[in-house]
Amino acid sequence: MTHKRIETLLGNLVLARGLVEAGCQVACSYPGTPSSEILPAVPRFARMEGVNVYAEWSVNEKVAFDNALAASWAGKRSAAVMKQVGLNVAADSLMSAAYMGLKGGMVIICADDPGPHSSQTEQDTRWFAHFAKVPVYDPSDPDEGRDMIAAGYELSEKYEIPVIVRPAIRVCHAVQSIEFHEVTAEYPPANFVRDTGRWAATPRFRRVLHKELNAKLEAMALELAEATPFNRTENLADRGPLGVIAAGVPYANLVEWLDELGIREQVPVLKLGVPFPFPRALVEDFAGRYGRILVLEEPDALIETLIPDRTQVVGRRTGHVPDYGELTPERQAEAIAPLFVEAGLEVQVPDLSSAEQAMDAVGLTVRPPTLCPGCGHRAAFHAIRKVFKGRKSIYTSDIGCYTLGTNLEAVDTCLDMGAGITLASGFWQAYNLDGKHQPAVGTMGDSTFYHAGPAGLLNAVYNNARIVLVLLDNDITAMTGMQPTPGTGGTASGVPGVKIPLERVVAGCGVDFIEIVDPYDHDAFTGILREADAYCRADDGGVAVVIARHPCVLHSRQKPMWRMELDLDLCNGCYLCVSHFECPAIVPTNPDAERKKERRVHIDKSLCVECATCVASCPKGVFMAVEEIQR
Amino acid sequence: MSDRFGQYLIAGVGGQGVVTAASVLSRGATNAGLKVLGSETHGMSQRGGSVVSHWKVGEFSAPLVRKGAADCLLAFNHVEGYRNLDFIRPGGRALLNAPDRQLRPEIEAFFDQHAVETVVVDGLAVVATRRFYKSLNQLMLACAAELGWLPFGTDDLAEVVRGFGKPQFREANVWAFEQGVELAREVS
Repeated sequence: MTHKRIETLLGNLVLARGLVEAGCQVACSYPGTPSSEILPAVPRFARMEGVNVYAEWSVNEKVAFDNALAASWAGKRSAAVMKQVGLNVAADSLMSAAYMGLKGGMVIICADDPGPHSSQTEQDTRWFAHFAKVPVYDPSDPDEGRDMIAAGYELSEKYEIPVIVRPAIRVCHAVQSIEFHEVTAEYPPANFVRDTGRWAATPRFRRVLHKELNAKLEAMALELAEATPFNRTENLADRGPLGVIAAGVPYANLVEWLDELGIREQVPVLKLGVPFPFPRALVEDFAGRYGRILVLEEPDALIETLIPDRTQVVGRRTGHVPDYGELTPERQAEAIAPLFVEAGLEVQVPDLSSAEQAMDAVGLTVRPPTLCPGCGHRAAFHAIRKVFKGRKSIYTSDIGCYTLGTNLEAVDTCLDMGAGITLASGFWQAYNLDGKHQPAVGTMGDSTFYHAGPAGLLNAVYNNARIVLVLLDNDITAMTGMQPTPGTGGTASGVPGVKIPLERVVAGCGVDFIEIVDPYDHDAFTGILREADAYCRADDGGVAVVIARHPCVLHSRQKPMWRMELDLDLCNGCYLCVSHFECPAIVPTNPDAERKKERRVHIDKSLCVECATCVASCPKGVFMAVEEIQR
Repeated sequence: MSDRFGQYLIAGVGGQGVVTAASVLSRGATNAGLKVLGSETHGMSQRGGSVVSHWKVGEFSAPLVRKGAADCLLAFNHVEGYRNLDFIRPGGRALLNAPDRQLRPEIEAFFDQHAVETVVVDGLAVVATRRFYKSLNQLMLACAAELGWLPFGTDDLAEVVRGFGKPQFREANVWAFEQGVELAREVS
């Protein structure tokens, strides 16, 4: 007798399960919230099922895309997994691959971040699909995402086109009880069939490929305009005051709200799980029945925009639904409740005002994320500010934990992956035009450097920029959950990879000044920073790279190093340790003291990792490392 | 609805084990044959920021709890409890960890006004006696279970905790769990 295996899993693991169950054999990814947990779960489920897959952490999303695409051209089912801004990096490949098509099915799982919670933009990947002319699936929960992956592979192979599955953050970070399906896939052997007119198409052939792509889209739109499990109507009526077209997580919020109000059976809904290629006939048939059409989707107004006749349509474009930010259940309910009332339905929105008043009375301050106690980045930033004289320098930084250096006033810019270098050289060149050496200090993490650093560094050296680049090397991709890098040599499958230390890559970019130092050693580190600054300014100088190497405290499970004591008699209440060092373990004792001089701090022993980097943060010497902890 | 067993909001600070607590609960629910749907916080917020897990048991469609709809708030840090006050439904429940079991009067007034059944413990003081700070989450879960606020019993959850996580934290977790049960018995 076989038992149904039910597990409660993170949404990303359900999607990974979907890849393995659908016979995906090659999966490539670069980590990024909210997609990071998908890739490492692929080899785990594959081992559990005894199937042979290749999964890799690629150095960036474009690399991941190309590696997966090649597997598909060789006839295997493949996946490229990334977050929404990662698709910007892979865009060049996606646009071209849409024309050329493929053989084995290819699914791009691209996770969106309405909010945004952990991203630079709220961009809508469904628009990217529209732009690139590829189909896109928009799941409302992880289990549906898994079904969409399976269906996506079928569609991908039938029309020889890459497809995108776009889970929003609430799908990726949902937890859901699911039933495991059996893996019954067949695995064709790799077999690339030469066809230069297609796989190496010149513009003459591209014209033909574009025509073929348009024909595929037409055919897919017709196929998807028939009711499917993903594009379906609920409570369809001949006429009525209001119909709702809903997609993704807003659909899930809607039906749960209607269920709770006991009016679900009274509301006609068209759920659009595959909004592109746009199922026009299905939408027009639905929209034609009702006095008003409400469109609920996120984060942007794709479906609303694609409806040809919008005279009856309300949504994000008309201001009836907020046109930015996440549609949380309460935000959505509040926005749409008046439309339901106008349609004669009984809905109430709970009055939260007394809770809000109590919260206001308490005076809640935002708890901003901070670097962990003992983080080497904090020690590095503190020294950088000291040496480069606070606001006299421009501090360009990048994407990672160390973006939190903003709190320490050691990060002025954060554009995207790689811009920690390119903005520094750009600033320097702009000031140099006016005859001024503007100190520009770039900071970038190890994983980000491998992802997007070399091209910008090569360019800075080649074009005579004079910048200091501090590579914050904590030997792991920390922010997204401790993924390996080329510097660690670890791989997604666990097979040892080839270790490529940062300094070798830096040297290869033409940099002559390369110093490696642990930022925990304050004196040595500040000394090297001064040398780097001098090298930058020297006639025969150039780009200086300092590798600040200290392992991530969390990942390395760093042990206590020093027994700490505080000499509070020396404390003058300046609170530099609180404002400019900002270790969560250093806590103000009496911040509201009448006289500033009377203010004191104490150490929260539950947070302190006894690293002693705070010693350098106090000009008075209050923090004392009294005894090295022997082990 | 009868097939909806409860909507929970678990709030705390990064590092307090909010996400882990939700995983423990999920395993308990799965063992009891119940369906779970919820939502976790990952990424940047985990670095010392506010962390919230939404956790729903039964027939639900949406991963997030709607404000004003939570049956129960579990706050590992009292201020994070205040921050999520607007999630609790009238007549709901709140279990908070607060120094010396003291809440701000405005918050207590809100709980009274909306008939929110409230239990306040100083769990941190308990785990601090053995420096098991990371096990505060288990203490809080045990407390909620023993109060009868979870869709399964204390024993079911204890079984999960005994087999959960890395072996080196087992002892601390089991000890903290037992303390949580004790605290619940003291207050009820």
